[in-house]
Amino acid sequence: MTRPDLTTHIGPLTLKNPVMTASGTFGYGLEFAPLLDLHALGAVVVKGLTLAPRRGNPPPRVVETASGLLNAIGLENPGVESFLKEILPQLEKYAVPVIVNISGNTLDEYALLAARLNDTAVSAVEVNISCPNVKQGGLVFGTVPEQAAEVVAAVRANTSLPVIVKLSPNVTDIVGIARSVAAAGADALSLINTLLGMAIDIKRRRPVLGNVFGGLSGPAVKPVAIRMVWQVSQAVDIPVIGMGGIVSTEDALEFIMAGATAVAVGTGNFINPQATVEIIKGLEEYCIKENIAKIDDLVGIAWKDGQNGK
Amino acid sequence: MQRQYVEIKNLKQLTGRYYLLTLAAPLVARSVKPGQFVQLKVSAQLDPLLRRPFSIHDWCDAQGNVEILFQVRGKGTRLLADRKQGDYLDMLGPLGNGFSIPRAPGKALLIGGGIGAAPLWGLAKSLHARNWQVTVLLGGAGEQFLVRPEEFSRWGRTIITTDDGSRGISGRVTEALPLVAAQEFDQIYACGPKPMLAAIYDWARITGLPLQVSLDEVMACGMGVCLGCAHPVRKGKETVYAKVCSQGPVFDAREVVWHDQA
Ligand SMILES: Cc1cc2nc3c(=O)[nH]c(=O)nc-3n(C[C@H](O)[C@H](O)[C@H](O)COP(=O)(O)OP(=O)(O)OC[C@H]3O[C@@H](n4cnc5c(N)ncnc54)[C@H](O)[C@@H]3O)c2cc1C
Ligand SMILES: Cc1cc2nc3c(=O)[nH]c(=O)nc-3n(C[C@H](O)[C@H](O)[C@H](O)COP(=O)(O)O)c2cc1C
Ligand code: FES
Repeated sequence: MTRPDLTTHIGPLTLKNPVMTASGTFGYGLEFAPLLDLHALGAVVVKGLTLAPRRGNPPPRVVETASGLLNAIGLENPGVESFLKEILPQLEKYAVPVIVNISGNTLDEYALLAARLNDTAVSAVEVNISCPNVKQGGLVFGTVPEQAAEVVAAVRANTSLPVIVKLSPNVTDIVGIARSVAAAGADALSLINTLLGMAIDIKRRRPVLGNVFGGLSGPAVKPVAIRMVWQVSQAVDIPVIGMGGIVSTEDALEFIMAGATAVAVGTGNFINPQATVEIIKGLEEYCIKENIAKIDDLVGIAWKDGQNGK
Repeated sequence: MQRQYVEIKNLKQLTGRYYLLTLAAPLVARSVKPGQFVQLKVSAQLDPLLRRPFSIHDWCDAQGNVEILFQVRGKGTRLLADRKQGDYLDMLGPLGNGFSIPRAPGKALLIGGGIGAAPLWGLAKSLHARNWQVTVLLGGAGEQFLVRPEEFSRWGRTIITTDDGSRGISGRVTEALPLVAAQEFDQIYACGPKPMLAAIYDWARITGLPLQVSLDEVMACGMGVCLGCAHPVRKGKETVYAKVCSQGPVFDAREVVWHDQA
């Protein structure tokens, strides 16, 4: 059999396969160059950027929980200018689509960030309206449908790049947010960001994290993410990038069958820094074994088949 | 830095909760610097999820071995202690910067508290090989928390302290500092609990002697991408966060912010 076609379309963006990295878990990509061929990835999504540099939250910033990780990094980053000047030129050499995750405290900041990334080597923007670890903005924008739509409209108006919107799972109605963001002009949706959580150190009788609350990620959150991808992918016409606890090919397939057009590996990179490339190979092998010509044929198959009564 | 499956050549209990793990890792043995560490996946399961960081205790290029000396603390280290000779472990490394050794040989003071002395063994060996005169201050809560107390004297004069007085001088390792004259040394190295390091810094600062400390911060990735291991450091007049895994774990003590209120 000929090689299966893993090509994936995220709005106007074409990726050679559906496997990307989740923002904040892959640095700026360069750190992984000694361990894997960056060019092999569908796309690299870099750590969230803000207009000005951010120092981040006080330590401790991470704590492991049962099959999960709580983090409260607080969007530490060098700021967009430094990224464009110092980091992007190096990343460009690997000829892999670079998606920049952006966060703002105000609508204006989102708009300025989006505008700044036009006419650069960046392939798309991922609008983070779901960070649980910063006081202003972030999550606030992501939990109210009208505000989420305003952010997306502001970004849309200021960029010619594909716009991906990253949704928070910390909402009662994920479908409502997804619909309103899609209507505001998003080209694709990413879900899920981390689930708000916390841990107590019983020896110190205090919260473990310096920031008190943190975002839960890793295999522990996967069932929540799968459920949300299933719901959202049926409710909107734009592609969904699924993430939350992916560590293996089987996990990636689960997301794709639930309706994800592409997938992103996050915390999985910490456990196995080569997880992304292993999953790409695994998807290819699965398609060969199951006689699937295009990976696209699997997207949403878990609900599509049900609807068609096959 | 690379990821590989390495075979457990030997795993033996030393005293109490300390274990010595010998791994077949020729590539790491060839390139490692004292003070660097590796990230080990202690089991293939998803719980415990993350790798665990361990300093490289010793290495032998000829045999292609690296050694880890670890203390059983929680579920990850418990699982590691239960692994068997012949098992394979998923290892990422070597990671971090390691200690720097000035070119011209001189006199070095190495201070280790508890399991913090683990990386000082490889450092003492390297210093010794480069004709440095080594003095070691080894402390622990009790005798069973001392790292290889008999053998350390192989590298130089070794002074031992225990909090409970079960061996050597009774008291904390910092209480033995007056026994050595700071001015005698060209370089001080320390690894152990944060309060110990801060106390050593206060002592070394008076004499202006260079002090390198190896910091321990909870880690997720170990390779500079998650920003989870932040520790405050001084950059000019500003306080910024450094990544202990990739910018450290060894820092010039003068750069470290010891009492952060930020
Ligand atoms: C750069 C570096 C080098 C290290 N080198 C060594 C070494 O050579 N030998 C060795 O025995 N240990 C070393 N450690 C500490 C070791 O990584 C931890 O003891 C280990 O991760 C604990 O895992 P666990 O699953 O057993 O404990 P967990 O179940 O995760 O935790 C049990 C207890 O240990 C504490 N703990 C967890 N992680 C750490 C940590 N990083 N430091 C201190 N306490 C912790 C927790 O707060 C908790 O109270 C090093 C740590 C770092 C960051
Ligand atoms: C340490 C860490 C840092 C993160 N930083 C960001 C970030 O800057 N922007 C963002 O949109 N999501 C961030 N995330 C969320 C991830 O991109 C991802 O949505 C989430 O972790 C779920 O996927 P996972 O379970 O595979 O990690 C971060 C997650 C972790 C664990
Ligand atoms: S542990 Fe991830 S950056 Fe240091």
